Amino acid sequence: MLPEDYLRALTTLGEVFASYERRTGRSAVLVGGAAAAIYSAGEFQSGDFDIVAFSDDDFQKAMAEHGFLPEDRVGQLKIGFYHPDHLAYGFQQVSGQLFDGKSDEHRVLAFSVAASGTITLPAIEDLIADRLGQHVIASPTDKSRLRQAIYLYRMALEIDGEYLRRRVQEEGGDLSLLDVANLMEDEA
Amino acid sequence: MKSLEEFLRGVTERRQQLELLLTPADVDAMRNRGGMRTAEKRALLQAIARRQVEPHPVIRSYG
Repeated sequence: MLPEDYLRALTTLGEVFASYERRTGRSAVLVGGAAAAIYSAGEFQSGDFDIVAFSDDDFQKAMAEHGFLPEDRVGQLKIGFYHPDHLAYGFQQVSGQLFDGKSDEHRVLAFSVAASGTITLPAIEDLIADRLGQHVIASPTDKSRLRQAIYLYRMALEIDGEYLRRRVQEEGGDLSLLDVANLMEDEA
Repeated sequence: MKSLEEFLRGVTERRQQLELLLTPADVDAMRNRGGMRTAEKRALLQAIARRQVEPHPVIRSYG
């Protein structure tokens, strides 16, 4: 399960997402490890929240409105945001469009959080493709993202195979790696 | 709209149905390695750390 403090951070972030959507009429989307953490209900955990939001200004205002501060703590890289109530976690905005505009934005999933918050995630196919793409550029000894991709693939209730194939190709990944046997052979 | 809580409950149930029960070692193996960053993100973070010019610049890589 996701840790309680992680869920509390998600709740606050959900308020930011709702506020951002009211300002812009568009959704911010949680991507990367945090999205994988939710799709796996906490089997995979991440200390970072990476968020795609097209309007920097509106996103920064929404963050400030809910108590997030630009990272300025001693010993931390001056990037992204932190929240005094969620000090264990880092929050970073990823610029540009969702997956560089290659994903189908109609496939995102939105969930209500607490009374008025919303958390939006990419489609599972996009997340699997992203993890496979990240695997290609990770250190050769780092199989973590491949494992995440395989796990997400096995956990998915429904997969649009054609869309997944297209997205994996666009992200530079290898769809055949989703066969768990490949991982086991590779590590034997 | 489905609640996040409901979604997480569904994922947990599915995990049990599929018997995809992971050991702590399995979970650890899924954790990002190598500073938990892609090469692109790592390079950008290093450049920012050197310059320290922007209070909260945006990045282009998902961790």
